Amino acid sequence: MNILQVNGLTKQFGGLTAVNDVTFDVERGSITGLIGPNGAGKTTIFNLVTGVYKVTGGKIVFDGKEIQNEEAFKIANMGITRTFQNIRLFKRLTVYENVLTACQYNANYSLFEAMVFGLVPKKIKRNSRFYREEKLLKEQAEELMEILGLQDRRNFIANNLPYGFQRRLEIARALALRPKLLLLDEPAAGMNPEETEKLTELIAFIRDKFDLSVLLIEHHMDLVMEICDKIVVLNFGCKLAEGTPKEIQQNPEVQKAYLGGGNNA
Amino acid sequence: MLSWYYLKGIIMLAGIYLLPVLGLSLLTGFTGLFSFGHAGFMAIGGYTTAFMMMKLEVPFIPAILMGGLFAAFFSFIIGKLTLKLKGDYFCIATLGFGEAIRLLLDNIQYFGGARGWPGLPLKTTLITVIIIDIIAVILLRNIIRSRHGRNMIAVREEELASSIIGIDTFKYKMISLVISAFYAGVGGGLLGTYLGFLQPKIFSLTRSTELTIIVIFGGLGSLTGSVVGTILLIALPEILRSFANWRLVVYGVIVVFIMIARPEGLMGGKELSFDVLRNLFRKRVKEAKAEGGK
Ligand SMILES: Nc1ncnc2c1ncn2[C@@H]1O[C@H](COP(=O)(O)OP(=O)(O)OP(=O)(O)O)[C@@H](O)[C@H]1O
Ligand SMILES: [Mg+2]
Repeated sequence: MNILQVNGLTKQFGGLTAVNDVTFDVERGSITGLIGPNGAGKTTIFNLVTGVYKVTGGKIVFDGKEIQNEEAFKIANMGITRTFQNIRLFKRLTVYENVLTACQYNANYSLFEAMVFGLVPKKIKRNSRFYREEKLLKEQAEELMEILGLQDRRNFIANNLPYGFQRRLEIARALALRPKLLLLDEPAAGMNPEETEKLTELIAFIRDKFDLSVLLIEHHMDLVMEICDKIVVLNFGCKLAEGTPKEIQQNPEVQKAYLGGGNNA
Repeated sequence: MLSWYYLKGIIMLAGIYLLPVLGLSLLTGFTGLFSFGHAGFMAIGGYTTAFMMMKLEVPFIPAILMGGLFAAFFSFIIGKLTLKLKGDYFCIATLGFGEAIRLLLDNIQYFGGARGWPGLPLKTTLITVIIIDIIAVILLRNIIRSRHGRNMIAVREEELASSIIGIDTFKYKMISLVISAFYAGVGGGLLGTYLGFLQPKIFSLTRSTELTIIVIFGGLGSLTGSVVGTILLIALPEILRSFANWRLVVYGVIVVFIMIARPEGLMGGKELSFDVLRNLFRKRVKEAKAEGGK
């Protein structure tokens, strides 16, 4: 079954049609690539799927539910989350704080409980839901930092991290939600070949470890061809082709519009 | 010179103003929303408390809580109307609200109009103020150190990223606003029963601005900063009173100087806690030992 179905998706900004009647699926457990030249509408599709923009037309079905009219935070809580092309961390917070903030999965204690149990002797506190859940959240944050290799830099202010680690931190923060579908917007942008190689492994690893489906925008063709089960090609807002990496590589139209264009950096 | 009676008055005034400042600290310092109408919430709290006590003979503490709740209720309506809008609508709405409340009270003769409302019971004591302050600080600290507080900080840092990790940004702005207005309302209630009278002009736009200045001066995102800021900026002008006409100039110069020297505010988003002090102390001791060992 498909985790995500995008059907006739259209988005207009004034006179500009950024996404034009695009239809594709993401199979459960797969890594699907979304590629296309600059301005093709890739990021716009992410913004539509995550509820950041309202759709002009078409349907988005996630896990059997139509979500095109839902608010962004609700879509996130249903199980879709993402990273951003131009990284959006909580810049002035530490690595640990960034991850901990996103760890809310299964936390239900109320504001009132926090106010009452925040500063009482441990003996009383220990039996409270507040204490139990906070402890769990902190453990989750530690685990995520461990998995993504952020432990050594846990007290770094996010903004001061090297670029590659900022991207990792964004992935850690997204994983804290225990998403079913993870959207990665150019995760390898600005990385050297070695870092890109590591990232490729990481994406495959977290897909298995967290039982995810991944939709991936990327300009690094090596990465895309290596890990994607399927690739969707966009051009000027329209879907140009869809298929396995091999099919895409051999597709003459794709080569003309994109791969052969010489600007596939 | 400084008689105890005089000093006590200053402490109480600072303690009372600490409440709206703490509320604003949550809203501005931790959630990133600016309000220029918190004097309006104080006014609602003050007049509600006075009304409860004078006309309905409600006891002191319940009357003050009612004042807080009524202010919170008004803030809820403002929030409903403006927090979903983009940009600075909220800030402008609070500004308009604060002024509207003041003008309204100017014209309600039942509450004494612009001349004010004298003869309120002098119920606020130093002990009450201190106890309420301590409770207020502890509750706020508990909120900030919970997932709810982290959500507010996330909204302040990066709203889009917050919603993408499942935070209902509207809800958390609202919670922050309502709590902050409640604090301001309680502060207003204490102020009326400390001064023994209320007058709309106490709750002017200047007062709202002053509250925001204190929060920024203390450092956005720091509760201890707000406390220290309140003590300095409320007490300082009173202590400088002996400079007579010069005191406001001196006050202004000190504020400007600190803002230039430390644009991030006194505490700059850090908290002064016993842990921090203990660590500092340990470090000193360690250094001293290291020195001695050489
Ligand atoms: N908020 C917006 N308002 C107006 N136009 C927009 C907006 N967002 C995107 N666009 C336009 O929509 C088109 C598609 O943009 P989009 O960001 O989706 O491209 P992209 O495929 O992600 O490109 P890139 O590889 O450069 O990131 C572009 O022409 C862009 O200018
Ligand atoms: Mg893009």
